Amino acid sequence: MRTLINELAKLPGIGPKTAQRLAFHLFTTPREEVQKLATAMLETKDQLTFCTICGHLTEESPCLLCRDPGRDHALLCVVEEPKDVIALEKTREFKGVYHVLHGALSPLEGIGPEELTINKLLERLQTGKIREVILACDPNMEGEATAQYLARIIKPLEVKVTRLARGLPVGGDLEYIDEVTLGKALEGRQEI
Amino acid sequence: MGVFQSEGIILRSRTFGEADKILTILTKDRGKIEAVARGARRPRNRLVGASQQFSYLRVLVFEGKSIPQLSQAEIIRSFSILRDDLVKMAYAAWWAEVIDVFLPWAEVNEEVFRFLLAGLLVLEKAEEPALLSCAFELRLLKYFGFQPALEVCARCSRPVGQAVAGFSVEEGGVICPHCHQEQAVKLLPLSVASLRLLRDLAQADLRTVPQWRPDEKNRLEVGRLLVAFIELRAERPLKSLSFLQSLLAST
Ligand SMILES: [Zn+2]
Ligand SMILES: [Zn+2]
Repeated sequence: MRTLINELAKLPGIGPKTAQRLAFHLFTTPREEVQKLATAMLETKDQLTFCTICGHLTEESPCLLCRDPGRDHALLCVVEEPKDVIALEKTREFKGVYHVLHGALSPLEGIGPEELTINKLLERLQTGKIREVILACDPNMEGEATAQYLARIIKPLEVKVTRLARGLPVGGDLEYIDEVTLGKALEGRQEI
Repeated sequence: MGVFQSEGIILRSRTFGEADKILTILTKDRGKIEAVARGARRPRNRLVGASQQFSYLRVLVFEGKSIPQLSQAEIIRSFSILRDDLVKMAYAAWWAEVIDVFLPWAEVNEEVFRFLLAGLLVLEKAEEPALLSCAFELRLLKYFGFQPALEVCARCSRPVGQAVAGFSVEEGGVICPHCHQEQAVKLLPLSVASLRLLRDLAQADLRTVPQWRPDEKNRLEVGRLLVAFIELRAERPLKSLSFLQSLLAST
């Protein structure tokens, strides 16, 4: 049990207490169910690879998104992680293709441009087939650093660069929004 | 156990658990502390804005049995310019790391707190932060008791005037020609003009430094030896420095 708890606690977002709860849950789950979970985990691990074009997780490279002729291949959305692709796909708003950086620049952690897939991104842009790049980095300091850096190196290539708006969460109360978000929303206000 | 209130500046923040952040805060009244900001990664959390790097805050910290908790934070100045400008961000991160490395936990040092605050305010407006950073580094070293010897020889302590053989990072300052002749040490070059610049920076009012226009050659010489001086004393790799250097090299 201790080994299981320790292993679970290594997963992102899982603290020791949650790990313990999960371990007990697995203990009370029928064996077949646990077997299914374990098999699914191993199969995923064995079958998934990174798309050679966009860097997204896929069973077969190039991925379904990169192979889809119905998508706009001149519109490129840059994200930090594969899970961001999944989040954006859920919106059903975006019809372009992606580029996954596999991380973000971090001044404090010393993660520089060479540790991300930026060279690959530049290669894609140099084909001249991309019309617009949308920077969809996380709205934190690392994401900001990454967006700034990318905007700097992409602009000379004469490709349009845009970024996601920084705005208010839908369904929120204005009075509960933090000052920085509210400030950015004010800065990025739009005419209606 | 208890609650305390202080002004503070966020030196670093890292993710923790599912939705939390652990912040390293340089507080005015309690020195450098670590505190967890619960839920600070959830978009609608009250601490989201406040828990960003370099924010200058009024904080209310609850000290329990485990890690202290940030229970309230009011932004006095968000320093968002420092997060919106890549080069400034890199310099601010470098300053924050130097303070983080040299200042022990919970050692109250109001001078360093005020100095960082002043530095960030000047950095916000500075067009070219490289020289400002030199002045900042030099002064920080003084606050931490590592002031390099600039007026006297670091080995024999005799006043040196203009004539130095060079700068010894290991010995902690300028070396006079006499000492160098007696026993050669590894020296970084330090021209007369660079030595003058270094001495001026040690006395400078930070606010005026961004307007100085020294020779680029001298600025680079001064910058290089300060960084080497800090790296040697930090005794660990400085991640933000490698970021800053790779950024400056690539743009
Ligand atoms: Zn793909
Ligand atoms: Zn001497």
